[in-house]
Formats: sequence, structure tokens, C-alpha cells
Amino acid sequence: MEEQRLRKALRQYTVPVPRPEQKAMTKLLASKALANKPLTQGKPFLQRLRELAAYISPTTWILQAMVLLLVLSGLTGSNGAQLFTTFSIVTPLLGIIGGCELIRSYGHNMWELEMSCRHNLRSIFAVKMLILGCVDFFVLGAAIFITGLSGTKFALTAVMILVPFNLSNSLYLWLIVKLRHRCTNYVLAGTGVFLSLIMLWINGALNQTLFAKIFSQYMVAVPILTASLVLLIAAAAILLRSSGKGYNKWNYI
Amino acid sequence: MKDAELITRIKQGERDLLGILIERYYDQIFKFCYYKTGDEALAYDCAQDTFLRMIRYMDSYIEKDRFKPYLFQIASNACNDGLRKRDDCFIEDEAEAKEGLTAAFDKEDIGNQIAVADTVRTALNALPQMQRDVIILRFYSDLKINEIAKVTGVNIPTVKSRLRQGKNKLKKILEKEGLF
Repeated sequence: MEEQRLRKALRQYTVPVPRPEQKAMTKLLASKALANKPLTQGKPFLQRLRELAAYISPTTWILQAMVLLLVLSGLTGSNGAQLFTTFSIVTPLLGIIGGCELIRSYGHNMWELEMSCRHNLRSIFAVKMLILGCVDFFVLGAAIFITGLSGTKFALTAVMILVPFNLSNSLYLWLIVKLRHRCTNYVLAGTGVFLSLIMLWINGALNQTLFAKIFSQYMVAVPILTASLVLLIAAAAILLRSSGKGYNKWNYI
Repeated sequence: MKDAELITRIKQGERDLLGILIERYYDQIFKFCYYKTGDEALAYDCAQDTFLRMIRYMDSYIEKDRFKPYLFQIASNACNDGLRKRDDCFIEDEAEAKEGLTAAFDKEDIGNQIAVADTVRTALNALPQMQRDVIILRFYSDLKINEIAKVTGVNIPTVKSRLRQGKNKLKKILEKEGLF
């Protein structure tokens, strides 16, 4: 109440209306100052990570979770060697999801627009890879932990899971750099399946006894199912995009 | 369009949006500068300087902060610099001050209105600068306590303390003059 009375008393001291020419002069000088100012980053790196994470398609996170759950559910009751083999076969497929997210920039020639914006395409790719890599780090960590529980040595686990994962990602990135806008989800998915088959063959060659077990109806189903799912979803995404539907959100920051 | 989005798009190169930002805040900033300096000409200079500084320091502005208190903080510093350059905190030429006040009122009953405004202005100038800033931001610019804290660079209890002391002093002065 008292504050209202004081406010009413103070408001009797009023301000002249600003002159339009003064406002116009301010706008003109400000525009000139802004025109002379180069665009700079001026953003903390963590903030940039957080903001760019919003532009990664939710499909990517859902797919990664589905792949992991599918693999884990298929491995219930498996022994150490089976777990180990399955993970080493499936890890090349995990990298396809990240690769598909990266090549989204090549869709509709968006890479040209992103290159002309504040951050260049290489920088955007690097930050996206960092975000996806941090998530994959936890996924792989869970995989190594699960195989470790079954008694498999850590060094062997790291070699048979991390090596195929890193090699497959390196190959995907090489394809993206080499093919650029010609690199599609089909190419990455096909490469991933091919790498999984190589891992299958390697695991078979390392352990002849296991080779027979791998081709048992149970064990071969998991990587094949996973690969099929990835291919199906990639095909659906391509079809949706070509039909003009689907989720697209572009990043300019 | 929200301030954060406007700033982001200006930083990204949509320079035409700067006019919208200035249009949105110019009147408020001018009003604040006028109350702080008491001088119309100096208020125009300080308002202009505020927006030029805003552009100069735009890179350091982080979008999560609210823009309005940030801009008022710049305006407050610009006014302090302007007043320091002028080398006084009060208007020395009373006639010049009253001429500025004349422009704010209608022709009718102008004499009485000028007298009242002059009384309020004198009461404000009688406050220490720290309390005056808080009073201006609260009663003329309608900022919240936490926003005033950001503008003045002190914590919320200090703002409340200065506001309380400022209000008490103003009440006493205005009561003597019969305006409260």
C-alpha cells in the first residue's frame, strides 16, 4: 500500500518522450558498429555441446538404445565366450547409427548452408562425434562390464570390442570424407554388415569349436536381427526423407 | 521473438534484427538514463552509448542470462561514466533542468506539474547514489529485486536494504513537501 503511494508520488516526475531522430541516429550508429564487427564464437564449449545435442535426431538415441537392448536381451543366459563373440560382431553396427547422423548434413545440400554459418561443417561434425562418442563410451563400457562379469580377461575384451568399434568408425568416416554427399545410409549400413561378417569369420577362425556354435540357430540370430533392424530403419528414414516427411532440424549455431 | 533468440540471430549475422532490439528497449533505457543523470542531453548520449557498448560486448553475453538486466547494467555504467565526465552528480543549472522538465508536461497546469516534478527530482538527488539507482530501477524501470541485484552487482539482501533505506528517506522528504 505504502509502496503504491510512493510509486504514485514518484511517477509525477515524468520523462520527456524520446525524440525519433535521436532513436534513428542510435540505430544508424549501432548498425554501423555491428557491420564492422566480425562474427565470433564467444560461446563456452560446454554450452555449445549442450545446444548441439538438441539437433541430433531423437531417432539416433532410440536406435542406439534398441540395438543395445536387443543385444542384451539376446544374450540372456549366454556364457562368456558367446557374449564376447556377439559383442565383437555387433559393435561395427553400432557405429552406423552415428555415421547416419553425421551424413544428415549432406541431405538436401544442407552442408552448403551450414558451411556459410557461424561454425564450419568440420567443426559441427567434430562436436557431433564427440557427443555420440561420449554416449557410445557408456554403451561399450556396459558391454565390456557384462563380458567382464563372465570372467573374460579385460585386455581380450578391449581388443575384441574396442578395436572393431574404432576400426569400423574410422572406415565410416573415411567413406564420409571420400564420398561426401554421395555417401548414403545404404553405403554405411552395407559396410557395417560386411564388417560384422568379417568379425564373425575372425571369431570363427580363432575358435574352431566356437565356430560351430556360432552358426547355431541361436547365436546367428542376434547379429542378423540387429543388422536387419538397422537396415530397415535406415531404409524407412530414406523413404520418409524422399517423400518430404520425417524429422529434420538444422543447426546454425 | 524472445530476446535470447533475437541476440542469437543477430550474432549469426541477421544484422537487420538489431533495429527491433533497439526499438524494444530504447525508450526504457532513455528513461533510466534520464532519471539517473537528470539531464536530457546527457540521457540521449548515455542511451546511445549503452547500445554501442552492447554491440561491443555482445560476444560475452551468454544467452542463459536475461537480457534486460544485462542491458540496464551497461546503461548504469554508461551513465556513471557520463556523469563522471561531466564531473558532478547534480544538475548545476536549475533553469536548464526545469527546461527539460517542461518538455515532459502538457501546457495546462504546467507550472504546478513542473514544481511537483522538480520536488521529486530534488528528493531523488538527495539520496546516495547506490540507493537512488535501486529506487530508479524499482519504481521507474519496474525491475524485479533479483534483476536489480544483477544490474547493480550486489546480492539480493543488499538490494532490499538499499531499497528500504531509500524508500524511508524519500518518504520523509516527500512528506515534508506534502507529496506523500
